[in-house]
Amino acid sequence: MVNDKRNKAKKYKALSFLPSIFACLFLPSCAKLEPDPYEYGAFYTIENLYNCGALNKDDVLNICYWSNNRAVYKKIGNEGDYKKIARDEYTIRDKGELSSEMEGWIIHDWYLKKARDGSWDAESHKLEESDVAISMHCGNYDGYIAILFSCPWYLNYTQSTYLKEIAGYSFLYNDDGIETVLWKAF
Amino acid sequence: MESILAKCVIIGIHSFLATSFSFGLLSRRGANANNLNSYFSNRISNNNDLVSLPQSSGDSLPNDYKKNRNWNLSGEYGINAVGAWRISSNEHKVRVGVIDTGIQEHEDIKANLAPGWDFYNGNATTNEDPMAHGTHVAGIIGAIANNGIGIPGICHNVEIVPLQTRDERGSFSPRYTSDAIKYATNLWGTEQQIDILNYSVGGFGTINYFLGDIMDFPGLFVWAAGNDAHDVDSDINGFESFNLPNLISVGAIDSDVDAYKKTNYSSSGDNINIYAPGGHIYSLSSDNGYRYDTGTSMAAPHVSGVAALLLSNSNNLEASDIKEKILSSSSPLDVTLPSGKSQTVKYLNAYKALESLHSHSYSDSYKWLNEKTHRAYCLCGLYMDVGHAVRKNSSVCSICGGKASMGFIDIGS
Repeated sequence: MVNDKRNKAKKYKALSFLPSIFACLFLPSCAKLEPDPYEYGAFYTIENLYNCGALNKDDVLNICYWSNNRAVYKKIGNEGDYKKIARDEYTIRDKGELSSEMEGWIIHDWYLKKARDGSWDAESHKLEESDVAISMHCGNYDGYIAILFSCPWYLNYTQSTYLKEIAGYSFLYNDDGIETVLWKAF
Repeated sequence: MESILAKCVIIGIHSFLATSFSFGLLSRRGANANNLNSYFSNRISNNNDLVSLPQSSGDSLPNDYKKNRNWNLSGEYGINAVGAWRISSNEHKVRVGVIDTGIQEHEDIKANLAPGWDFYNGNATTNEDPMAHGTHVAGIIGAIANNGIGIPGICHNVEIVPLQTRDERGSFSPRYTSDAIKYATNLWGTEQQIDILNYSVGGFGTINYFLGDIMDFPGLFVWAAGNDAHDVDSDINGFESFNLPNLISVGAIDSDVDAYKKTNYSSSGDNINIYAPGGHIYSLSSDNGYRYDTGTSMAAPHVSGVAALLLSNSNNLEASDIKEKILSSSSPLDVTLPSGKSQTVKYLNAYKALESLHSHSYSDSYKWLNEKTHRAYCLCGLYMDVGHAVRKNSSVCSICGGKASMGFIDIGS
């Protein structure tokens, strides 16, 4: 009788670990942007960090505000239109500082990424680290630094825009396809 | 009864005038106008109730113009294309080259498309535009007007030449842009002459690779400022020759209700020549559809469209003349630039640009039709409005500003 109870207890104890095991298996991970590794840290997309819980909705709102150059948009209809959300309908936190040392690390890592993925017209220009520039520091979020890079001068794209919706907020991106990313130091 | 009949006759004459102008039957409007003097004189003596004539006619408002969607064409922050259409003769066909992603054979522009060239693939297939960017841009300049569908383009007598230069990734090598400009230069003086080149790519001043090609092109080159929200002066400092007489750089103004006069993306700086609507622009999209798009890509074709409108009214203008007229006729607009800096910039005004073709002294060019109401007929284009045609003592028609070539009907003393 006592043995039966002990066996049952052991069984329950073993089973109690299952949810944790499943949780570890199925929780979305905060995947880094390929190619990896970089020298000082790693890059992540906003969607990825939002989906894995590293960013909350308010963080996305704040990133969106800075990424859109101090504006938050909301999509209207299905014909590509959008509306600016009135500034008094939301609050924006202090975005924190980006030290020049940290800026240098981020630029270096982005250069490494671009040099590896070959997403530039090598025919017209050989990529240099000095070609990489930050267009907007979009804030610091628990160790993650949101950055919008500018399109290198030697790449030419059409000068219209597209909307990308994350957590109900619309990011207005240029046709060059450069989207705001987050970088975290190793 | 007599009064009603008189109105009908006058409306009929008005319609005749409009139709005659449309078909170029009246070669010298002043001379033909004189033929009507006696009729109008009689009407004045018999009937002072002439103010009920229709306010506009003919080409003034295309049936595909939608006020709620085309904020860019009229209204407080539009370019007043509607006003320009009222005084436009659309006499000459203008050819505009669109250096872009190609142009789909959208039903709302197909009839205005001319054969073009794909400089990346080296063939004449230019209608595959998966991004529909070039299609959207082309629609702003020259979508078919008055066809009952979609939108009206800015210029109503235009041929669009697709000059496709994108690679398969959607980016643009300056090499192919250079080839496209040279292609247009080589066509100059032929029947296929391209009068204007629209370049909604790259951002103004980002590349000087094809600067020499622009200098060699005898037509007008219209270049989008770019969406990087930065000051282009820092890019083009040292390149003094960017101030070319045949080059116009175009920034964008947005249309958000709470953000009028402000754009969050447009590049700016003293080297941006003019601003035009760029946000929420409704134009052609894939598969015969329509969509809104935003960017300086959309602002540049507004300027190209107005340049085409000028040429369609006066085809002897040099590129530098067109630039001068567009800039000098612009409206001052106070804007907050992305940098937060406030600045008064030049804002495109289609109506004033067209009006500037016809400046002259009006001292003796009209007579009062009705001394009591201070109203007169003005034959500015196809527009006849007795209600507010002429203000006494100003000698200037408040609709068209007055035109020497069109003048006013001289009704005699």
